[in-house]
Amino acid sequence: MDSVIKIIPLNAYIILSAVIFCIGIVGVLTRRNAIIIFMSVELMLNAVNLLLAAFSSYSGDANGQVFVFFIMAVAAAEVAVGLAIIVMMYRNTGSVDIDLLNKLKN
Amino acid sequence: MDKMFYFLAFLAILSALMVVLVKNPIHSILYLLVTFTSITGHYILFNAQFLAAVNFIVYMGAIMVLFLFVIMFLNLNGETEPQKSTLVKFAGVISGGLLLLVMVASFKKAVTIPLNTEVDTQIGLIKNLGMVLFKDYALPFELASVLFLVAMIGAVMLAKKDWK
Amino acid sequence: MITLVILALVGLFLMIAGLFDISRKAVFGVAMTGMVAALAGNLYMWDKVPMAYFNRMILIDNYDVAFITAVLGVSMFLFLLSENYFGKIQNYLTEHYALYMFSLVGMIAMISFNNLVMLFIGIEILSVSLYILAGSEKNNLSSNEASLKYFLMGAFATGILLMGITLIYGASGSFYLSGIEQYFTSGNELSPIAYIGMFLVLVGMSFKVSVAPFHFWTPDVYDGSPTFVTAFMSTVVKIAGFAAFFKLFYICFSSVIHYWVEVVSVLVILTVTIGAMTAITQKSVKRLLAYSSVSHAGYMLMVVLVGADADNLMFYVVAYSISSIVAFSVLMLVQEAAGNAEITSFEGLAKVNPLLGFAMTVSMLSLAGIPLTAGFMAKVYILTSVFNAGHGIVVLVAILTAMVGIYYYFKVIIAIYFKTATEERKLFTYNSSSLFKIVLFIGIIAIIVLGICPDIIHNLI
Repeated sequence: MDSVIKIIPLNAYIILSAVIFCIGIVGVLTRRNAIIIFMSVELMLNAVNLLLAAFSSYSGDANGQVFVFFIMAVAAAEVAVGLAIIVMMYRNTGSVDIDLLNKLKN
Repeated sequence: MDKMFYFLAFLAILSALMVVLVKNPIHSILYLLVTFTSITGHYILFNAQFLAAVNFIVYMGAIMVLFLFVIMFLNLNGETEPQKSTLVKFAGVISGGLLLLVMVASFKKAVTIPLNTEVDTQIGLIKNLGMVLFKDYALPFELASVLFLVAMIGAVMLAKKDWK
Repeated sequence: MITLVILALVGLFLMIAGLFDISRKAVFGVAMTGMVAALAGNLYMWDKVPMAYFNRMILIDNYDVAFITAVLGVSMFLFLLSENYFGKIQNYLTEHYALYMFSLVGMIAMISFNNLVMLFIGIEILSVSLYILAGSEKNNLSSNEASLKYFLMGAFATGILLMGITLIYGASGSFYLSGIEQYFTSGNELSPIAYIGMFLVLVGMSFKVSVAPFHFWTPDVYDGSPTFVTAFMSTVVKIAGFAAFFKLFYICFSSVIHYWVEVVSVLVILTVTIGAMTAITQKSVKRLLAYSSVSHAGYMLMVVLVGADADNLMFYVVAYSISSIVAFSVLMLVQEAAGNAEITSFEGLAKVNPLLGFAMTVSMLSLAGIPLTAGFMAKVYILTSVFNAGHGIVVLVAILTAMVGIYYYFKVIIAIYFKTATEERKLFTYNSSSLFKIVLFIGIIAIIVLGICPDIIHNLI
């Protein structure tokens, strides 16, 4: 089995992850549910991971893949804290709508 | 092999779109899971075995279950889903689309690393990455543990009910 | 290096100490001792040969020592004023302290980074601790909102920053600053990947240090967080953020400055203008300080724009931090007595409590940039260097907005001196200990002394 890096040009991967990254950005900008916004951020991070792994494999340099490992570690920590914040907010307002807090405050 | 790539790429983009588009949060999560699966598939295509395994365990295992758990816990579904006004949605799509346009247009010309048949395809193996991680990246590795301590404090402090 | 280890260990120790019934004073003592020890370990590195640790993951030279000293010094100064804040915390007291220690660890990693992994991990440790601290008043909706907004925006910014780092890695093939610098100074035509990566890094960092137009989260977050946390975010965190920002751009991208200089100057102009214009209408002093921190971020960004003179940045952050801390500490006392942070709560403060009134006045003068204060000299240094670098328009806009700034800072001073307090407010007791008074006193003296002979700090690096 021939490895993908000999057949598919790197540009294909750059464009693939650019597309996923931008879908993530659109998700952050257009949704109001805090959890979905956060999932869109996860999409962005995954696009970054894919691109890093691609760069690293295509140039035969392991550093990129180690960076992916760190991004995953950080993402896990962020998820724990982020979901705790969302649960805390839900407990106080009964909703995960990010625009609702603004209204309740005034 | 190239068929595999196009299939996985198509699957990743389609399910990423569905994550953002569908109304019901649980469906969003399931689509996100599909996206992660296809990205794991890409890692396997690169022969990045360690990343594929970690992605499988950490992202699809731990992170997704946590998301799903919270959504179930808060009992969210399509009916309770708040919607932004059409104008904001439109603006969001336009700005995302513009960024994509700029990125894709400039990347099309970017020939960074030529197709190289000599490249070492073994770098993604655990043995290789372990050497790099624990030799060069020992300090950030230790600092990641500080980050986890912070996250642990945060989860307990914020999500737990106060006692008097 | 030793600084990093000491702070991490103190944080860990404090977490474990939470298990035992340990008095508030002891916890405070341990945290302060830890910071003093860390500071000593840091100062020991001053004027040594630049040292690299752990396979060049961090590299410490005078620049780093100076900024780490500023971060630790300012946070110690702030901690001395923290009695009321920590006194009110019922649950998880030691965990709060541990979070502050860990966030300092993050900041030190961020300042002394020599590899983008360290920058990334440092920023994340800092941000995650701040998300938690911003939301630490769990039953307060504003605090909830601050935490959630900060978290979502922070995670979003992290995503953008990471994409930038990835693209730069793709172009240069390295995460080490030296490798990236080599790529950019090589004189070859830049790959579009590097170009876009640079801009995404710029946007990501701008989000983190709240530069307009990426500042929109700042007012809500600063306003909603507990006031002590706001003070921490707008002083200590800002120092670390800009130290990393400047270092990254100075080392990596200064050789291709012509690519980004226009963009950064637009950001500077937007930041100082938006910060000043939106501050005018504010009725709450806390929100006013939040907007003023945005416009001060504009001045700090000017140092990045010039791409030289790290000691101007150093002087500016120190002057700004001391002035802000004095203002925030008075605000904390007034807020506690009056129950809100409105400007009207400050009316007649000079008669009721002359020291607090005077301290607030001096800090407002310094933030506005009136001569004989530290804030004035800081602005003079930066604007001179910006002018010499040939950005006349930026200087012009900065001076105009500084004049607008005088208006809203003086609104507070007028309330303090020329309005009379209501009968009810005359009876307020401002609960300040003698330690508090001493620190406030030192703050006032520092502002004036730095305004008269700035060379004490300037030209150090």
